[in-house]
Amino acid sequence: MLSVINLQKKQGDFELKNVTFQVKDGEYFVILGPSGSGKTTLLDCIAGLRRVDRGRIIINDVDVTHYPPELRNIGYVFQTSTLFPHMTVYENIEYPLKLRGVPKEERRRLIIEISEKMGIRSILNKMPNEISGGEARRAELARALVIRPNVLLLDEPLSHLDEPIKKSLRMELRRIKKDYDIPIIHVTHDQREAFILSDKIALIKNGEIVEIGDSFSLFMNPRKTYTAEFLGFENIFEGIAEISGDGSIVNVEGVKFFITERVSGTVKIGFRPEDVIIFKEYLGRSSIRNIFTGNVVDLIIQGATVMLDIDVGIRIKALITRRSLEELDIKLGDKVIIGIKSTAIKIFTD
Amino acid sequence: MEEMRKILDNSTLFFLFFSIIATIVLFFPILLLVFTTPPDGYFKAISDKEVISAIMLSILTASLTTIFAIIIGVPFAYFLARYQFRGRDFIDSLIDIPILLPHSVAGIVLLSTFGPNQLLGKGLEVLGISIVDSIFGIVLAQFFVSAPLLIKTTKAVFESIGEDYIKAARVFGARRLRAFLEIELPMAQRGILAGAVLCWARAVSEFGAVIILTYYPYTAPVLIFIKFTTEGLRASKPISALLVLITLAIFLAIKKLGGVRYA
Repeated sequence: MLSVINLQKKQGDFELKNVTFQVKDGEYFVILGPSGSGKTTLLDCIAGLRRVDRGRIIINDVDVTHYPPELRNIGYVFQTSTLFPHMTVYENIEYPLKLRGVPKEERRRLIIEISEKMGIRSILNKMPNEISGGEARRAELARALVIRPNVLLLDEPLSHLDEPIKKSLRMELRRIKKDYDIPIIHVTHDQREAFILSDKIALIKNGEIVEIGDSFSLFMNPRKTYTAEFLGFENIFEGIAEISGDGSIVNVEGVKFFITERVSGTVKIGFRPEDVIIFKEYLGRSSIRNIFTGNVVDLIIQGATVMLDIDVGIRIKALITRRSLEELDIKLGDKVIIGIKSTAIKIFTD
Repeated sequence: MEEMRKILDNSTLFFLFFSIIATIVLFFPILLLVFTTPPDGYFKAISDKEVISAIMLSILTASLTTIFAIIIGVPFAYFLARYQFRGRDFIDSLIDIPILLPHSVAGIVLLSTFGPNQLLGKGLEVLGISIVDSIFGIVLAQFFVSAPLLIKTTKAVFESIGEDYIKAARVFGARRLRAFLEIELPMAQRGILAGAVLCWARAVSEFGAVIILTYYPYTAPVLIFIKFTTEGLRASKPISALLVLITLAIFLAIKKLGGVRYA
């Protein structure tokens, strides 16, 4: 188990502020945030590559805050390839074992075992400049895992790779999670990657953890505007709420939304573009509580889907399939009716 | 023909023009020196013991200088490249001074520091080392003007090695010195060799600082100067041509063997 408690680190103008979280054994923890948000600095602090100003890092009940990196037994895969270019893949994987004084025969056994697991047995005698990007990542994972680390840190391990390689490596990472039963921390800016891999996600912004939660609840019910923006809530508005019946009505520049939570005062609400339903003509009574009429002012084709920008007094984004667009015969300037279920509208706490 | 026209477009001609001027000014005089020296001139120079011992002395001292420059300069370059401390930029700019100084001034600076009865010279005298008219003086003068080239090249090489490599080594369990010796030094090897070749070439050709500290035993540049002032161009030219050929051969051989590239 890894615990990071009130960690603070100032570095030039940047600062990690009171970072606190726990990652259990066998848990895949993703730290999601844009570049420059402090993800790598945080991993470096956990690995002991940077001294922390305040706070504690505890691995398996041992306070390692002031331990040098070599005493923490951490596996770390860096954002850029760090296979040592003057060593073969075999020698690269062997290096951490050599440093730990593992006897030669035992080293050989462990390297063969891990390279078979990672599917890189055939490239062991190659130099790093002779292998592909995907193979290099596998070799780096093998090098990080061969020491049976207490914690595995992954810094954007899938960036700069082609989609098919990413896919197979994602499967590899899921397998590692199952096989190794250690805390895994994976930092990325890619929300899709985060949701595919994670058990738990922490959103980080400007050195601060904004929200932590299990991936499903975070995706469905983000509590902070930043999380919502990052997770695809493209419709976020500020309005005045008034309690009404079993919920509230939020007035956003004259457009009134019914939401299921009972709140009053200034609030921020949001919903996903895929939760907006488009009608070409009004269908009569329905269970949808929020129905508006507006004009299509923009239309962006995104492969198989289309993002519509609809002016209903405020601009609302709606995502539909290209097939729906063709079947409904929607064009720029067309009048459409939109519906949003009140349960799809979330309210944010900031 | 079409291809030829493509190659010789206006922008190519622009670059070609200046390249030709550079070639004429930089390389043509050397080629002229080597090719206009008659074979018996070379033969005479080779059979002159004084000439051969001067060239050998130059090669020996330049090699010693380069070894010292590597031993002292590589850790220094690493320190400047990897450690953050106050005054780092100031020290960094100090490295350029020996390169910027006129070489006669470099000789004066060294003589007034390490010479007899000077501040550090007294200490050297206690150890039985004199820098005047000795191999020590030659090596000191060569080191002063050529080591900065090695330090600057090596520092740039260390800076170009991504910090993630050293971070990886540290996380895997290497202490800093071990990570330096086992990871960064082998990775910087070619760059260091390139710096060493530059350092050696600068050292073997040093004249100004050397003659102020050590007039005798003669190094090749000093001997050539003496021949020129006493016997004229005809006597100094074959020795110059021979020195050019020998140093060029060594320079190219090291580059080839070490796979040195100045990227």
